[in-house]
Amino acid sequence: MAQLVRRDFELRYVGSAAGWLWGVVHPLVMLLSWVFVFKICLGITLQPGSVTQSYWMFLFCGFLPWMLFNETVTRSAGSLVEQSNLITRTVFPSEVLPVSIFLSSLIHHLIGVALAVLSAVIALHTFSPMILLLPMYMFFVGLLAVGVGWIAASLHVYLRDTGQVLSVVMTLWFWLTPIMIDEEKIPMRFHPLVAWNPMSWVVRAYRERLLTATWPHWQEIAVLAAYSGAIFIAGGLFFRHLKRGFADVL
Amino acid sequence: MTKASGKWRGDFLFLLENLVLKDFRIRYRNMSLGILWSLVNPLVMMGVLTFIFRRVFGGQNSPVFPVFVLCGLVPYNFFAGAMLSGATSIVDSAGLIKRVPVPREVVPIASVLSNCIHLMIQLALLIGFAMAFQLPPARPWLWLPVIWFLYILFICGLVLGASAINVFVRDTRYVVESFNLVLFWLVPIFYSFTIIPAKYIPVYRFNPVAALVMAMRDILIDRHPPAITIVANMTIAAAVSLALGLMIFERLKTRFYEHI
Repeated sequence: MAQLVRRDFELRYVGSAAGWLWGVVHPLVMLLSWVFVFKICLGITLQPGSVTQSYWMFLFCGFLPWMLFNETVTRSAGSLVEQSNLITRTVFPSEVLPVSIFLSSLIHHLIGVALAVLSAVIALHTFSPMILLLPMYMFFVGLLAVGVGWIAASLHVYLRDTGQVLSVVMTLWFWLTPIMIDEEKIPMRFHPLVAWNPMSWVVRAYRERLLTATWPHWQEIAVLAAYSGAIFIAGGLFFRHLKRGFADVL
Repeated sequence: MTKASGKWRGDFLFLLENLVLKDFRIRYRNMSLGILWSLVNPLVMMGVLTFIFRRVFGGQNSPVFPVFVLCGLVPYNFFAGAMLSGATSIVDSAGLIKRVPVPREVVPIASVLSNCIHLMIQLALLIGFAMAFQLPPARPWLWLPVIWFLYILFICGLVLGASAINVFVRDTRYVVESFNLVLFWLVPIFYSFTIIPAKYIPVYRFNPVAALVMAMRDILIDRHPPAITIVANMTIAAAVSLALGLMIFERLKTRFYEHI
């Protein structure tokens, strides 16, 4: 397992002169372009009552968990097919592949969170001790992402179209998560879609923990735990069911 | 072969044709919808973006918004697809390059051309949509082949450079991937060129992908020939990128063999 995580991480950066500096540069460039598009071009502003008035920080804290989720799910989808050698030739527990992808993405994520904490201190002069609760949310994101990743990866073995479908699903999912816009600005009739989306709970929680010193509401934790547990178990069962045929199809 | 060093004298077009077809077949291997994905993908993305910007966020009341989005998506998709498969093309066909002394330039160019097949399908879709939205063909449409030709030349230049560099620095691929992600937001796909604040407009002027999107909208939606500055910029971009790409490729290609 540790070998797999290391290999995945190293594989992405072999021969790299800048090494994993790339992991720092990429989210910053992304943040820069999103602030440009949403704030400067589309003129999105924050509501007076929201956690912060700085759009930079609002966006940064919101997109960190989304990037972690998105990266894990999209890369998991192709993972079984890419590693078909391992699966067909050896007795290999293929379910660890999405888990190892999650852990290797988590390293990036931790770099991102450190940057967010640092910029909160510098730009807003706030430091919230509540960031100590973030690992709990990372765990929830992990369960969610691995659960969805299992479903996508095992389907992709049988239906190679899954990758294409997934990219569309993730785009739609991104827009229905309040990452670059206040929830209140989304029209009333779409609120159920946002409320039913576990990622919007995560995004909201990240923002509050990073930027304010309030304790989480017990309801939030209960909802997240229920969601992530359910999706993780559903994904696991689904994967186990489809796993029997892997060796024949791959 | 007259000289011992073995100058390749095969049928150039035959080679190109085979490389293009191989690329094309591999891409849709084992998919049930196969080539239809070239059509479905932009259609669904257009649907999603139209739904989001019309219904969820509101504010987009332009009656031709689907055509507007497609004018952005088609050039972007082509760029992202060609760059990604082009940048890895030399490394991916290591076998061919090591064994046969073919002109190496053919490999990246073939991968761009194989993406052109998808482009044709997507352009047909775009034109179909334009007609469905009461935007029939008109004289400015004659500009379409010109600007697309310039755009393909521009991408060929980039791909030549990137594929050569990728042989030596393998994470060029990841750079291309993240660049594509960022580019999605920096090309006016779902927002209009007019909402960009004046001081940032020069940045867009120098972005050939954005230039093509603007030109496409000029032609298809506003129904007039593209601004001459756009065409001039695209010509310069194509010439510069092709010259640089070929230069880098020529420099590096002698050492490909040891590094693949």
